[in-house]
Amino acid sequence: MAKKILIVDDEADFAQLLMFDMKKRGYEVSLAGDGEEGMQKIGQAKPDLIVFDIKMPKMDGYTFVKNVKKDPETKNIPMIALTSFEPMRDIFEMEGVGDYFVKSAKMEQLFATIGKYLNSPAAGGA
Amino acid sequence: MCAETNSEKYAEWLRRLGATVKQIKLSSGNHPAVLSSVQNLVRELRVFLSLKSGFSVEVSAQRLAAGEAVLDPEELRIPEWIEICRVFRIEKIVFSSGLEEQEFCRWVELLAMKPNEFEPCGGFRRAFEEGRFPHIEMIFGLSKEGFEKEESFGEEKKAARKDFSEGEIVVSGEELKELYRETDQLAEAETRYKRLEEIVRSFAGGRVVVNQAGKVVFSNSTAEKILGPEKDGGKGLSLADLLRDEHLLVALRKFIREPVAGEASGEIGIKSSKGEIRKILLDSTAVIEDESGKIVGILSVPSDITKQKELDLLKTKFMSHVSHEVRTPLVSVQRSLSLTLDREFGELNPEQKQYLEIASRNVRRLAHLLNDILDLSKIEEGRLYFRPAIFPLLPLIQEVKGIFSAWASDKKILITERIADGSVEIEADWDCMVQVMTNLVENALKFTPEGGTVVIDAQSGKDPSLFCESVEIGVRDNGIGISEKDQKRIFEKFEQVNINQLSNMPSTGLGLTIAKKIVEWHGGRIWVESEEGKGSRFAFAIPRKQKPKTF
Repeated sequence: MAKKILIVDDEADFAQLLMFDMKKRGYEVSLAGDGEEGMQKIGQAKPDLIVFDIKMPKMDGYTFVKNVKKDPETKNIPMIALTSFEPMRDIFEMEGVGDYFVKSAKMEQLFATIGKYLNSPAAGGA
Repeated sequence: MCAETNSEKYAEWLRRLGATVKQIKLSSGNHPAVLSSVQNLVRELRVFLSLKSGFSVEVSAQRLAAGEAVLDPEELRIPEWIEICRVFRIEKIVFSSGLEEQEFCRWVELLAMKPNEFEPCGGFRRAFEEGRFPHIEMIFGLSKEGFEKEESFGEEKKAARKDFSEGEIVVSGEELKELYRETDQLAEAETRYKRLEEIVRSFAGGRVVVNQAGKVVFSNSTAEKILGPEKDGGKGLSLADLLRDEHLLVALRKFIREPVAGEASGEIGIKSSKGEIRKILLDSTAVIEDESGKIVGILSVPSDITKQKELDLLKTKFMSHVSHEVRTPLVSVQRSLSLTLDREFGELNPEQKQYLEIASRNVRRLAHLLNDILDLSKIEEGRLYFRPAIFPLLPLIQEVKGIFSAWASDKKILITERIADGSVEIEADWDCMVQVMTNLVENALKFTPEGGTVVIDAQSGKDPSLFCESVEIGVRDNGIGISEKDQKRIFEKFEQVNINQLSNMPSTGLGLTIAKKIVEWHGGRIWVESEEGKGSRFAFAIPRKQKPKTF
């Protein structure tokens, strides 16, 4: 069965391009436009991994991570932060976030990391 | 011996002698309390001696001489000896025994006074007139010839002459007259000097003169406002008292000791009386020499650049913010273009392909510029995120070669390496090192004509200016070379030297600036060796081990 990824990002164009690349690699992808929508979609989409933006309206990335990690149902889902900004210490040290990438980073790097999480049984979720 | 009578006598002489005192005889009497003061004085005189040839200090007390042996020249303070001796024309100072402590201290007080608190010579005379030195017979003397020629001294005074037959000097009657005349000239010169000083003091820009020991000897009101917090502009205080940044002080001292032709400048931080740190730019613009050509001080022009610095940082932050905002949409444009060009959505006709490639190339160029601006702003805001690791040189060089292999073979340029030992390990941030080398190799490729060669060399050793085990990495091209004039500014922001004539590669003029900042962050240095028409070698050296830093 195809692994499922949830993209939480208010930049629709970027999210769409990312979704294209993910689908091409055989992942099943769902989109959410902000943290609030992300929380709603987690239940039905049951993702194996979440890729999320930091700066978003309604609910930002920091709050989103906290909420996901609070819920025992979802707390084991690996999370990757994807930001427009440089990786800063506070993102790097965010509780429960496995990795971070800058949006301008090479896609190969991002997918190598995604592959690492989704193929490892210890990464939980699946 | 009657002190008062003698006092009057010598006061009278001094009135006559005016500026002609050629020898001062100071005595310490070996009193333990006095001894240390004398030692200090001798110390300072030693420094003075090094500044003025033909001047000597004699120390007669043996214990003084013994004390001198442990004096550290680094600790020397120079008061206003130069000025005092110039104004009073003192050419020789003799220390011997006999003076009481109290008197001696008065001497110290007098000699340490600032010269402009005295009228030229007059202050000296007045000091004696006011009876501040009752036992001056121990101090001054006249030659027999000069003494006898001076008729106004009278018989009584001539008799007293016998009391101090040693340590004296030499003022003949003729010389006296000459010296009186010189005194008038001196006074005139002094007026001119004062007028000049007034002009300099009223300059809108700050002016400050620092002597060789790093002490402020002149400052105008603007400089005083800038350098604060002392009300007198820190006159008499050393720069060390005023400045917070020790590194700069070291640099300034070095400059004072080994001045180079041209200018030197440095930024310093000064803590104001309100406790806030202000940024000051000190431009050292002139070396001040004495008559014999020895350097006695540096004229600096301080300006308060706190506001500029704040604005600069604001501008950097703004640039960084805008660049981030621009970059994300740019990533989407770039990605969409490349997906289309990769024929993800069907075949393209030749025109579509051509124009999409133009779009793609220019998006890349824009992204390149944005990345450079962001890198630089990160460095300038001091939030570069370093992750030092230990790795050998060879993979680093191979990585960089790999990045450029396609481009190089397009231009038929051979990239070779000349590495003494590729297994030598360094401690550095891998990504940063790749970036530095990328910038250098990219530059080299731009400067190298088709069919040329770029050589990467690396060797370990001890860089003479890093004082530790280091590695040196160089990138040599056989391009057009860089003129000596351009070599100096090539590491500055947005400086490019004829790049556009040679290559259509995008260039921001920031690459070398970034490389320089990264290398300096690693405690290293970067430089260029070049000859016009023959090519250039850009090289950097960094310590093999990083000092612990707060990254």
